[in-house]
Order: sequence, then C-alpha cells, then structure tokens
Amino acid sequence: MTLGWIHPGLVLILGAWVLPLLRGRIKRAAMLLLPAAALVLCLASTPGTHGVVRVLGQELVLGRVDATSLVFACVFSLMACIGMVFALRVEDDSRHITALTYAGSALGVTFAGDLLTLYVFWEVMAIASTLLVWQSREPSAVAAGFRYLLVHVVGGLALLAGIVLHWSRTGSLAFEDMGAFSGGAAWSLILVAFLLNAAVPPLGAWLPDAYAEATVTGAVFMTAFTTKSAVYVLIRGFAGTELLVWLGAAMAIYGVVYAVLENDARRLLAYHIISQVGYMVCGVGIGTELAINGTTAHAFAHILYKALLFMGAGAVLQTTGLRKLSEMGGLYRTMPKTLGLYMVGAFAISAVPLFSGFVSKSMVVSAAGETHRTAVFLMLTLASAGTFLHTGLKLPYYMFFGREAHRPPDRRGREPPANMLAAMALAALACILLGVFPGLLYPHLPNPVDYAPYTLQHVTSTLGLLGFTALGFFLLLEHLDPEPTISLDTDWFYRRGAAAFVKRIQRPLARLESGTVGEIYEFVIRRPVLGAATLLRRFDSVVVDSALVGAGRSTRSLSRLLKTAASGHAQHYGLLMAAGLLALVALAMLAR
Amino acid sequence: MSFLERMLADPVRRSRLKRWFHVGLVVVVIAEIALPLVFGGGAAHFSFENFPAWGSIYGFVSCVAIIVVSKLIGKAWLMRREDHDDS
Amino acid sequence: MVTSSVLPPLAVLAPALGALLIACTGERRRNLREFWSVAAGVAQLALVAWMIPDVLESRTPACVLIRVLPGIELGFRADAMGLLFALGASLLWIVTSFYSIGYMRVLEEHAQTRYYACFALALSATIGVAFAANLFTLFLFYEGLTLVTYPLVGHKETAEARAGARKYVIYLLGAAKVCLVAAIILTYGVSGTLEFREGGILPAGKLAEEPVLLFVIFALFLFGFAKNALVPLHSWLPAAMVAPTPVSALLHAVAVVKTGVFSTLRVFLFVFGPYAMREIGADHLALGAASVTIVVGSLLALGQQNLKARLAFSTVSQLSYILLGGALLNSSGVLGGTAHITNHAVSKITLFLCAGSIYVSTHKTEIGQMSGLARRMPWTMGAFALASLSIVGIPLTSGFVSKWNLALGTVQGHSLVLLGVLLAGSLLSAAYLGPIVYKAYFEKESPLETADTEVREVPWMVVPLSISAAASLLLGIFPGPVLELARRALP
Repeated sequence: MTLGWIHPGLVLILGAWVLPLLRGRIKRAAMLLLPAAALVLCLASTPGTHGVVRVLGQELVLGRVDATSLVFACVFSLMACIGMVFALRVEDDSRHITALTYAGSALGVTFAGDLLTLYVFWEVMAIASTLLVWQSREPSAVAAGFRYLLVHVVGGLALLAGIVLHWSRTGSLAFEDMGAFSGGAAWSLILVAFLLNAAVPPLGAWLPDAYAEATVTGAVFMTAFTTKSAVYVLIRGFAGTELLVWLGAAMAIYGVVYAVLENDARRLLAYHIISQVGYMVCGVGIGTELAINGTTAHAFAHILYKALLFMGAGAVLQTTGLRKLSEMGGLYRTMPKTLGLYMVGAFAISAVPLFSGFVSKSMVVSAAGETHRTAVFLMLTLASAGTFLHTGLKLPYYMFFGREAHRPPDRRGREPPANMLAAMALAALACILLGVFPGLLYPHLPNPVDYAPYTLQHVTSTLGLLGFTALGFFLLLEHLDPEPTISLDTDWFYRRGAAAFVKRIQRPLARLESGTVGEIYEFVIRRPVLGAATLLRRFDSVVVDSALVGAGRSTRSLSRLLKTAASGHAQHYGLLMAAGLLALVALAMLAR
Repeated sequence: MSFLERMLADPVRRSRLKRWFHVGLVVVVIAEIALPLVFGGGAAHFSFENFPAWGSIYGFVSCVAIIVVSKLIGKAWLMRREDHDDS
Repeated sequence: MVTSSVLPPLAVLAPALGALLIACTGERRRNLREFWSVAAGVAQLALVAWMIPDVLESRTPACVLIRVLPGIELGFRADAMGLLFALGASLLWIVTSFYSIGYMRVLEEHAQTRYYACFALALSATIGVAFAANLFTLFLFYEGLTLVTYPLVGHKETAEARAGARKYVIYLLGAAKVCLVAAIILTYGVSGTLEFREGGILPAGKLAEEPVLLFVIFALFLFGFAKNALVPLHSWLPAAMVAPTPVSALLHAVAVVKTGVFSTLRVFLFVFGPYAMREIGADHLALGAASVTIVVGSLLALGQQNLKARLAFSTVSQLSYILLGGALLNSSGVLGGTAHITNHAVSKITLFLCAGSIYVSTHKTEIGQMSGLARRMPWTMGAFALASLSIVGIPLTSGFVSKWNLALGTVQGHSLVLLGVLLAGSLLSAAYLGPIVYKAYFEKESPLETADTEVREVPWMVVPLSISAAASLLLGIFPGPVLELARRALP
C-alpha cells in the first residue's frame, strides 16, 4: 500500500469508534475535529492513484484522486462538518458513529478506483443510512427503515450481479466509463443500481418514505450522501447516456408534481431532492463539458442548500413537534432567525441571482440549450418555476406564516439551540458566497469553465420567471391549501403489492409443508413403522410366553438382556459404540 | 422579529407591500424587455428566448400549469387518506 | 501424493475416547467430566491441525484399517476438503462445549452425562465422515452420526421431544436405508470400487452405455443423504428444533447438516466427477433441487414466528448454496460452495447460540417477544446482528466471500437464472433476519416487560458466541486460509 495519502473516509469511519471513549468537551471537540480533518485531507490531496491493494488476486484502488472525485469529496467532507455542528448536542453516541460512518463510506465510494471497493463502501453506506432512519425509534420509522433496507439490498444485489458479470466478461474490475458495454446485462444492472441510489423514478419512492422518518439530525446527513454519490458514479461510468437525459428531465418534473400534493414538510423537501437530482442526472446524460461541469457544480451547491432547508424544517420539527403543513403556521413571530436562514436556502434552490443555485443550475440548463434540446430545456425551466413555488413560496408560507390557527403556547416554537443555528448559518454563508463569487468553485470543476452566469439576459429572465411564479402563487393561494392526505407512489408495489404476493405464496407453501408432506410422513411412514413395531413387540412377548414352556428361563433372561440393551439409555449405547470402535481399531492394528 | 410582525399584522402595511410587489414585477418585465436590447445580453440558444419578457410569461404559465395539473392528477388518482398504507 | 499416517483415525478416535471417559466419570465429578469434553476437543483439533502442512503441500495422509472385500475397506484419507471440514468442526466443538456448560448448568438440565458423551461421539462420527476414504467408511460414520444424535435431539424427553426425535430418526435413517444403501451397492457394481478419487470412479464405458442407470444412482445419492436438507426431505430439520439449543447449534452448523452436504459434494466430485456429472445431466438435477430449496427454504423461514424455527429454515436454504456451488462444477462455484461450509457454519452457529442465550436469560422463544431486547442483552444481540450480516452476505463478512465466489461461479456457468436465485436468497435472508435485529434494537419494550426481573447474560454463553461472531467478521476480512484449502477441492 503506497503511503503518503491517508484516506479521509477511513479517518471518519475509524475515528467515529473513538467517540464513545471520550467525554464532555473533548468528545465535542473530537466530533468537530474528525470531519474537519477529513476536509483538510481532501483539500491537501494531490491528484493521482493512491492506496492500491491486492486482494483476491485483483488490484483494488482505494484512492483515485482527480478533479471530479476531489470536488465531490470536498463537499462531502464540508457537509460532514456542518452536519456534526448541527448534531453537536445529540447525546446518543450511536447516532454520531452512524453518521460519520455514512459520510466516511460516501468518501470511500468517491475515491474508489475499482468496482469491488465501490461495492464494499456502497453496502456500508446502505447499512449506515438504514440505521439513521431506525434511530428515531418511532414505529413508523422502524417500518420505513426496513423498507429502505430491503430496497437498498436489492440495489446492492443488482450492483453485485452487474460487477460479477462485468468482471467475467472483461477480466478487469477497474471503474471507468462503461459506454463501450452499453445495452449489455452488466451495464444495465450497474446502471439500475446507480439509478436506484439516485432515487430516479420509478426506483425512488424510498427517498420520501425514509427521509421524512429519520431523526432530525440524521435526515440532514442523509440528504447529502446517498443521492450525490450516485450522481458521482453516474458521471464516472455513464456520462453521455441518452436515456439519462430524459429520465432526468422527467424526474425534475415528477418531484415538483408530487411536491404540490405533499402535506408533510420533510417529505415535500424530499420530493424536491428528486427534482434537483433530476437536473444532475439530465446533465450527466447530456455529457458535454458544460453539462458535466454543471452537474458537478449543482451537486456541490445542492448538498449545501438542501442541508440548510432540512435543517430549517428539522428545527421546526424539533421545537414544535409539528411535521404536517396543515397544522403549522404563524411561526415567523417566534422563529425569525430560522426563517431567515431557511429563506437563504430557498433562494439558493430557486436559483435566485446572487445565490449558489443561480450559478450552478443554469449551467445544466444552458447545456441543454447548447445541444438544442428544446423539450428538455423547457421541462427543466418549468421545474425551476415549480421549485421556487414549493420551496421558496409554499413551504415558508405555510410553515412560518399561513393560517393563524389557534395553537397552545408551547407549540408556538422557539429558536433552536445555538449550534443548530450556527450550522445553518455556515451553510447559508456558503450558499451566498458561491452565488456572489462563482470563481471560488469554477476552477475546481472537472472541465475548464467557459461560462458566465451573470449575463443581463439571464438575470432578467430569471427574475421574471421567479417574480411571475410568485404572482401565480398568490393568485391561486386558496387552491394550494395543504390537505391531510398522502400520495400513492411507486412504493405501493412493494408495500402492498409485494406483501400480498408473498402472503399468497406462503399460505400454500406452509400448508404443503405441514399439511401434505406432514401427512405423507404421518400415513406412509410413521403409522406403518410404529404399527409394525407394536406388532413385533406383541409377537415377541407371545414367543416369550410360549417359550416359557420350553427353553423357558434362558429365553426370558435373554429377552430381558435385550430389553436392557433397548433401554434407550444412551450411555450404554455410547459405551457399546466406543467399545466397539476401540475393538475394531485394535483388531485392525493386530491384523496388519 | 417585531419588524416582520409589524409589517404583516397591519393591513395598511400589508396592502402597501402588495403594491410594491406589483411595482417590482412591472419593473422586472420592463428590464427584461429593454435591457438586453439596450446592452445586448448573452447569446440565446433558442428562438423563443428572444420573445420579449419570455421569462415572466413562462414563469407564470408554468406556475399555474403545475398547480392545476398536479391537483387534477392528485384528486383523480394519487391522493389517499392518511391511513391508507396501514392495513 | 498419498502418505501413510495414523493421524486421521486417531483424530476420529480421540473424541470417542473422550466419550468413554465422560461416561465413566459421570455426574459426581462434573468438572472432571466437562474437562474431558474440552480436552477431547483440543486433542482432536491438535491432531487435525497437525495435518495441515502435509495437505497444503499436496501430501494426503491416509490409512487403511480393515479390508472387508476388495474395494470395500475401512479407510481414512485427509485431503483439503475433508481437512477444512474437520478443522471447522473441531474448533466449533470447543466453542460449543463451553457454551453447553453454561447452558446445562443454568437450566439444571437432567442427563448431562449422556448429553456430553453423545456430543463427543457425534464429533467422532463427523470427523469419520470428513476423513472417510471411500463410500463404505463414509456410510458407516454417516449412519453412526444419526444414531448418536438421536438421544441428543430427544434429550428433553417430553412427548414433543420424543415425537421430534422420532421424525428425525425416521427421515434420516429411512432415506439412508432406502436410497443410500442401494446407491452404494449399485456404485460398487458399476465401478468395482468405492474409493474416492479426483475426477470420479465411474468407468467411461458405463457412461456411454447406461447413462440412465447412472442418473438414477445419482438421484439416490442426492436424496439419500437427507442430512443435506434438500426439499422435500428437509422436514427433519425443523422437527429437530425440540433439542436443547447447543444441540441445534451443533446440528445446524457443524455436525449433521454439514455432514450431509459434505457427503453430497464428495459424491459430486469424487465419485461421479465433473465430466460424468455433465454427461448424464446430473448437474441439472442437483442445480434444480438446490435452487428450489434455496427459495422455498427462505420463503418458509419468512413465515416462522419461532426464532429457532426461522433459523432452521434459514439453514435449509443456506445449505443448498453449498450444493449449488458444488453442482456448478467450475472452479469459482466449487470454491464458493466449499468455503461456505465453513463460513456458514461460523455464522449460523452464532445465531443459534444467541437464540439459546436469549432463552436462558429471558425464556423467550418467539420473535414478537423480542422488542427492545438489545438494551438488556447487548452482547448477544450484537453478535446476532453481525452474524445476520454474514448470512445476508454484506461485504467484510465471511458470507460475502462465499457469495462472491458463488456468483462468479454462476456467471462462469453462463446461468443468469442461478445468479438470480442466489441473489433472491440474499434478499429473502435480509427480509427474515432484518426484523429480529430491528425489533431488538429499535422497538420499544412492551410495558409489561420492563417491570420484569433483572435480565443477565450468562458469561459462559456470551463469550463463545462472541468468539464465533468475531470469526464471521475475521474470515470475511482475511479469507485467505479458508480459500486456500477450499481451492484444492477442485484442482
């Protein structure tokens, strides 16, 4: 193993296990130091191939460092820092270990240069994130976590199958672009696995299901890693795949449509993750230099502003216990700072000029424009309007303003603790900095950047788009009132459908098992055998009786001896066997 | 923040806010149409982008479309009672 | 290269001697009696381990004791496959012995001497199967194992236990007497020998002339070794759950079931051989039976609410992974299947030892009762969670190593269907093991429980199960030794 480069992911995973041994201030310091150390290691990494190991006769690359992997790794580490600040006051150590393991394995996926390493970290991510869902301990969370686990196991199995097929065909485990194998079984399986983690419909219903049930602090971590690491591996392996363009555009709209109907605040934001990741998937599909840059930049910005949004909604959940929009309102009075920071995130996601979304999302949309994809361009722009509609208008309106319903005093909410506000402020700062100085990010993007976001045309049309979306919102306000309903999503197939299917198979199987086979056993084997045994016993006693007349006593004592042998006392059997075995061996040795 | 409270609780202030909002919209539309003509903004990818105030129009249309269509799909098909999944 | 060595039969003898000593010592001097158990286990392990260097250098220690007829003799042979099996069995016996001490003493079980003596004899028979040089020897010890484990299954001596033990014996002896004896006799008739040889002992002429006869012989072997728990002859396994848990752990991880699959693999590779198997289409029969068992076993496991029953059906399913690997007849498949003998043993024994620990500390047997158990029994549930990961096949565990090779084997054998069966088995095992883990960790205890008396984990039991759980992890991170031995099963 080449020295000189320490894997930031391993620092997080292994370092996390030190936390339970520490106490008080030192523990808190460690909680912040670990991700900070990871970030420093990422920033200090030099491009190249590090951490090469030989396992199972294959060469595994643990540290493939280049522009693409570095930028993702840096934002993942930064996110881990912000997340730990947000979770600083959580007492439960297992949550910290899980969160850091999750972040660390995401880094592992990012730096993986071969498919086997990728697979190992992929599975660790799935397990760690499942634990994050389960840790909220509500019955609904336990059920949602189990569904999440099974879905990700399926994804993992598809990935494994694809890797095994790929290795058989090519003899190499290297993780490179898979365009050459387009359409093959291995290609399809690996793509499906990646798409599942990226929450592409119809494989994405797990995301709103689980993210709304996770703990307040856990959900913040979850928004960043699973989907964005999936985007990263899509960039690596499937850049330029035409299918992704359409999947991405459809995804962007799908998320927005479902968000209109949503009542649960975090579920609504979760559907928006799907929508925003749609932009990224679309960008990967377009595959031009600008598109890949846009995807990367958008992923970077998205991690930060989505975390901010979830932190805001999580803060509301924590201080008021409310999660349904139909029950919230009037919190602007008691939580103004949260509102303000939340709005920074909302403006960022809506691509308001001077915020991070503006300089990143527009790259993808422009790339669609450059390649003359009219429909895609229109779809993505429509989704932009929709994003602002929900995240920038509907959510804050109903969460913080909205109906002035009567509320018991303690549910009025109050500002969350200082560490949560600090975490939100950090993320908000990043969103603004990136928006005002895109030059901070652009040089680190995979391809050379030849794009200027702040053109007059672009700024004014964006402002128009957003402004008139707001107009539409206020005009149609009555129609938007959130209703206490849930929406059917593709998870119906495995929630209701699969359960019913399995039950239908199980009943006849169980009946076969205990019924038919059991009955065969009963009538064909057990009864005849026992019957024969009883017969023999009766015959035996008759013989003994009649023999009493004749050879009499000797026979009787013989049969008594036999009965003792058949006493069922296994010590005797054992002794007999052991004695017999010894005799056999002795015989054999003598006979040689 | 008492500032926000003051702004929103008072009906007079609220209607003033609304008026400023509408003014702002008009300004944006004018800017959208006029400024690129005056200063020559970036190159457009599609012909419809050169339509005056296309951003505003498309924004409004998109917003309405999303709300209407989504609600329709929801009412007709997707929305269920909250305890739907608990069988 | 075959070298003459008295070590193989000595390894068989050591536990038998131990059984004798145990029986003679009796209940009066319990500690001495337990000492004999452990001592016999250590002696056996030492004898088996002594042969490792030889086997690794392809020198096969062998020894013929009695020649009954030409081609029928009592002979022993320690090759890589047998050595791997024997090593696992010996190590796990030592672990289980300590566990048994804890279990038996806390529950104050009756007839402990009989228990320990039969246990030792069972290990003797197992090693006999592992080192059998021909079908005759294998059959002797295979049947002996059934007889010797009968009192162990029926240990509790309740009506239920007697019924379960009866079913156990009837299935296993019945299948053996009906199918196996015929198969062995026919094999002797066809090939004139019963020796195990690489590549098989069937003469090429017979292959061409009478493939149907050979196919029938194969089927008789496949279902005759009912200890491999192929559907539909698997019901003895759940029926045997009436046994005390250390017995279940032994039966389902080490001795009985692995004897079944091991014998079946011997027939695949050393009686028939890959060429013959393919010629007569026997591999299709085996692959089909194994696939059905994998899926059906898992589905039945899903429906079980009793923890031990669920684990029993899980074993039924997992055993067929080994058979699937063997029947693939390619290097990766056989490697994966053979390695799984050890990898699964280590994980499954952990799960059963945990079930026993739960029963001893809380008297709970149903999965629904296990909400919130992890707080009271952290070590037990931790080991359970780790072993579950291995059964599902998550990377860094021993189960993953087998699964990876089995997957490669199915791809080498150009069968996506079999790959699908393998992966379906993984998914289903996550489905039936997951609830136990999440209930224990993330569900709240019912309020009636919390008022209960102190629940304490028994150290005699927790240490062994922690060791086996750790082994699951270690063998996953350092699979080298196991793979080295397994690789030589199909050179």
